[in-house]
Amino acid sequence: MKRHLLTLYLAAELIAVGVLGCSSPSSPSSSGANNLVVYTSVDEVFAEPIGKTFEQETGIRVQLVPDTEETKSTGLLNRLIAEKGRPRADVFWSGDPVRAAILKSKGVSTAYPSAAAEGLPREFSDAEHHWISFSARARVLIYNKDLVSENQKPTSIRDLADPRFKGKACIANPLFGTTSMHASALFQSLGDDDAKKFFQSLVENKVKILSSNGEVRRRVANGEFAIGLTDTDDVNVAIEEGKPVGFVYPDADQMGTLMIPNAAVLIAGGPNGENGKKFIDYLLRPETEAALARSEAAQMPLRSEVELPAGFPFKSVSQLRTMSVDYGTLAEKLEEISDSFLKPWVDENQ
Amino acid sequence: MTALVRSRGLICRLGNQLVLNGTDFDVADHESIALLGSSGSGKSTLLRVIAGLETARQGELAIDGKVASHDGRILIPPHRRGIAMMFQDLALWPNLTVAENVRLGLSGLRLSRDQSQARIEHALDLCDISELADRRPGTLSGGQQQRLALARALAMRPKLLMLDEPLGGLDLITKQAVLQQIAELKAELGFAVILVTHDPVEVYSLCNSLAVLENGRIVEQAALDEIVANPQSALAKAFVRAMQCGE
Amino acid sequence: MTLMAQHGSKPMLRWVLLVIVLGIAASPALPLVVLTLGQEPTRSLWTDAFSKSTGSTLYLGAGVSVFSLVIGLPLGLLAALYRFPARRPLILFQALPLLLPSFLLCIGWSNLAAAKWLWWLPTPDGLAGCVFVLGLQMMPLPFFATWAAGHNLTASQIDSVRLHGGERSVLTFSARACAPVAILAALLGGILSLSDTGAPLIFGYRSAAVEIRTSFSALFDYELAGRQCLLLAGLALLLIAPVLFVGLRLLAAAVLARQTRPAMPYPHRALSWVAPGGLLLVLIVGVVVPTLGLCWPAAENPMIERAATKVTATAGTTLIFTGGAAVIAVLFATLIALATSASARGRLFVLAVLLLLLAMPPALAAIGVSRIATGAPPQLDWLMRSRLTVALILGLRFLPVATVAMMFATCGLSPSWRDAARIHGVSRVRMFVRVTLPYLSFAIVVSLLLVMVLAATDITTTHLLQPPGDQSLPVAIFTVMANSPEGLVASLCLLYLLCVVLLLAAASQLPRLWSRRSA
Repeated sequence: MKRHLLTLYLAAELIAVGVLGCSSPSSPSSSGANNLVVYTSVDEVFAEPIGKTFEQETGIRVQLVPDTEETKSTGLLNRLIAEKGRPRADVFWSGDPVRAAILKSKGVSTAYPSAAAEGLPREFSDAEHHWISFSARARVLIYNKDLVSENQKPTSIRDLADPRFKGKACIANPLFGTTSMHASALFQSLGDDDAKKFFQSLVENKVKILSSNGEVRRRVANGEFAIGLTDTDDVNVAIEEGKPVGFVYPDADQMGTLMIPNAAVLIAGGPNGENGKKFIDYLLRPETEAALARSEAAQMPLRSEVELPAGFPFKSVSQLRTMSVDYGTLAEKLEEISDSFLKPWVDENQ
Repeated sequence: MTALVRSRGLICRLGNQLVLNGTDFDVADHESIALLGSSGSGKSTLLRVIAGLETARQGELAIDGKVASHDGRILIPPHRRGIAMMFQDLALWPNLTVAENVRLGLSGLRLSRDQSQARIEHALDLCDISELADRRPGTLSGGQQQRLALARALAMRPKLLMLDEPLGGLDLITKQAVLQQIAELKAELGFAVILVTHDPVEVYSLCNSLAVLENGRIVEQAALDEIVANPQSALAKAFVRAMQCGE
Repeated sequence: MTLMAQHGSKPMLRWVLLVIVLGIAASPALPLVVLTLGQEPTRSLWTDAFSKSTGSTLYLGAGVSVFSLVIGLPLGLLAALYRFPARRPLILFQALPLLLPSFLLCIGWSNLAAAKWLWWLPTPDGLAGCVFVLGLQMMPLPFFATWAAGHNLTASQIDSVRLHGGERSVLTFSARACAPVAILAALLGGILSLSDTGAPLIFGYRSAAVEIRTSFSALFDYELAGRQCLLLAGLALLLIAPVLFVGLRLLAAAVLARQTRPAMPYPHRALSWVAPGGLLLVLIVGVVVPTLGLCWPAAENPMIERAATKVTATAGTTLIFTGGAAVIAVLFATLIALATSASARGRLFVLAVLLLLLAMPPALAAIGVSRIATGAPPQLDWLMRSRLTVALILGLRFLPVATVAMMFATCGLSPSWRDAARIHGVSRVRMFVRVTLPYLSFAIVVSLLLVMVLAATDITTTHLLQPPGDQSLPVAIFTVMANSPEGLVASLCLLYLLCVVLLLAAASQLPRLWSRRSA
């Protein structure tokens, strides 16, 4: 009888957990007066503390939905596009301006000319205020110090095609993420023909295409590859873990280093639009730029007056020769080359 | 004696096969009849039609003078026919104890709790398995399982007990003990019996008449003595020979 | 309706029930079909790259099926037939590989291969690497299928074979008896691996799943992705249909309705050592080694405390998603299994439909549901935009797995039990509650656990559908791992494994409970 009861109990518990748990109003409704839903492609570990301090300062409850690496899962951007008719998100905090621009082109975002944007350089943001950029990462070359001596270290992205790194260099899949943005920027900056030649030279030097920037960092750090192209936040993680890696701002004396600013996007018709605006104002403040600089992501402030924390591993944006790019049209360019060049290129060489 | 079961012109198909082909079959009150037939002759199907588990596409079946099924329509559901059955594989419900098997078997009668408890105790007692009440079928010996199946059947107080070769796997001594028990209970409780078997020992211990089913028809039906004296069909002749060898 | 089906008296009703359940099961894929087929295609479907990658995917699926079968079938047999030390935990922990998302296993392996002192370890790469990792991951499916089928062999069958031909004959006989269900399970594994992108991406193998992901995440072409999915699912079904057909007929023949005395594990001098050795080896290679590789870099910098906070914050949601999915899947699976218990053709039809659905990458269904939910009135949010949605879609996704398990279990229901119930006038409800359900309870609990485990690792569906504010633990690991310190990722993985091991340890007490009940 006892055993019977136990079985019954087990069944009852499972059903209770399964059914009641599901149908009961799960989390406090996301459209309440004091709520805010933020989708973000910024890594959760960096976004969460910012959300928490916003919550403390304003009393508005932040529900953060972080993204996963888009090559491994389908990603929030698709979810945002699918939810366009009746959005669940108020703000999309994008880790790069290309995704923000895609949302604009799909009609998911709405313009919000935030007053808090004052002091932020205009060239990184959308002219129609659909997305406003702040703190940035940069695209850098990471190298393994055990495999590359100080005088052999790369200086330009063209070194990926240098014979001394033949078969020992890697990049992330240029169809995805910041690498795709970088590809688009190269096409814009070098012109189509030169950019195609550059990609062809990568093939000739047997550059390996990996699944993500994180993979590039991991496999250069563990010595599988000598050099790779990745983002500053990845590099910082490897440095903080004490991996034998160094990094280089590529093309510091020529076309410059590509900056990848964050972008704040207000979703059109979100359930808590006013709170969304408050959050965007909050993101754009100099204090947030300072906080992001202090975080493990070590993001570089776009405002020159924001003070860098002690031991900051990177330069400030104003100290760098940055690649001159029209951020507003990168997404269009990307769409064009994805189909016509990048996809076939990846198909052939992966 | 009035007819307890009376079937006329039963026709039943399973798939493409014509299993019962105009079967006429009668069982009288308190009669104890053995049903012989080669494999596939339709014995099990006939029992299932009588029980109401299958319907005959054509023909009529009356139980206790009431039409129970007629041309493919069931007029009296199985559990209202006063029939119990011991299946070839006994059909004991494996997760229930001995007592629970009998109790669940009584659920169609809508008895009060006390009434069913009394019936269970009585049935287990009749079949000598009272001390096994809390065991599950999987832990019983073959003979004990037969007794449980019998107890479950008898607890219903049926007018007719149908046995579909249920004693197959038993040793001779156990088999005779079970048969003896059924015979005694039959004498005591007065139900009729239909026994499907190939075993002369079973027939001899329990039955007083015999019917032979061939290709879905009853070809021979009479008192046991008559058939032994003058068997008509090939099967009946073989049966009588086997019986005489046994003696 | 259950009971109608269970008693098999009204075939029409059974079919109606089946169509309803299958309709529900197919509903997440419907938006995909409608949206993709209703559109004028902008890109061509059958490109060189896609045809090539489709071929690669089919190799991958076949490789995974064969590899997992080759390991799972013999081990399952040994586990079912022989007595050996630590039998129960060893058998149970074979479920562990299923619990880890494939990309974690891959990262573990490639970390190991990169370690200097492991220079002799070949780096898993390409097709071989994918088949190795995914095959080991899917091994539990044929393993448990074989184990369960081996359990259903009766003592007399085994004893007579043992008397006549010795141990070798016992093994061949039981292998033949268990093969159909093991093959079916291995096929399920192969199909599940078709939509996996983790391993192919990390090991640089061009599978169609990667191609579909590209259409989706790089080209933002949902329609193209949808058509690619349908094509892939159709092709997969075409290829497995013959196996399915033969396998199911054998399955019906292999399972006996009447099990009076199941075979007891047998103490054999050699095999009683081979069995635990093999099981341990698979556990070590399939789970321990890659986990070590994953956690190796973190040994210096463990972040257990931070990880524990995350685990406690996500545990409830994880349990609700996976538990809900399990309840839904097993409920439908039981209905389907009972409705088809009398008809081999029905089983074949149902499995074909379900396998077709299983071959669909989960992202497509999730995005499809998301689109439909967006267009639906807010009054339907409790169904389409809640925790229930996640549980429902996850449950329907893994319905095929639960269905196979439950079909197998219902084969053991003897038709004469129902006949006896009818003669005794036992009502259908009472028969179901008192006999059928308890008889199936072991299979139900096993299926519940299996679906919970599979649902936990389906990150894509969960991530795309989870309501804001709810996050499951595997999704948390997934989002954290992009750029977090390896110490945190590793600590999270370790805690996740620990939870799973505890869950399995608790589950290991169930068979004891059951065996006592039936003893």
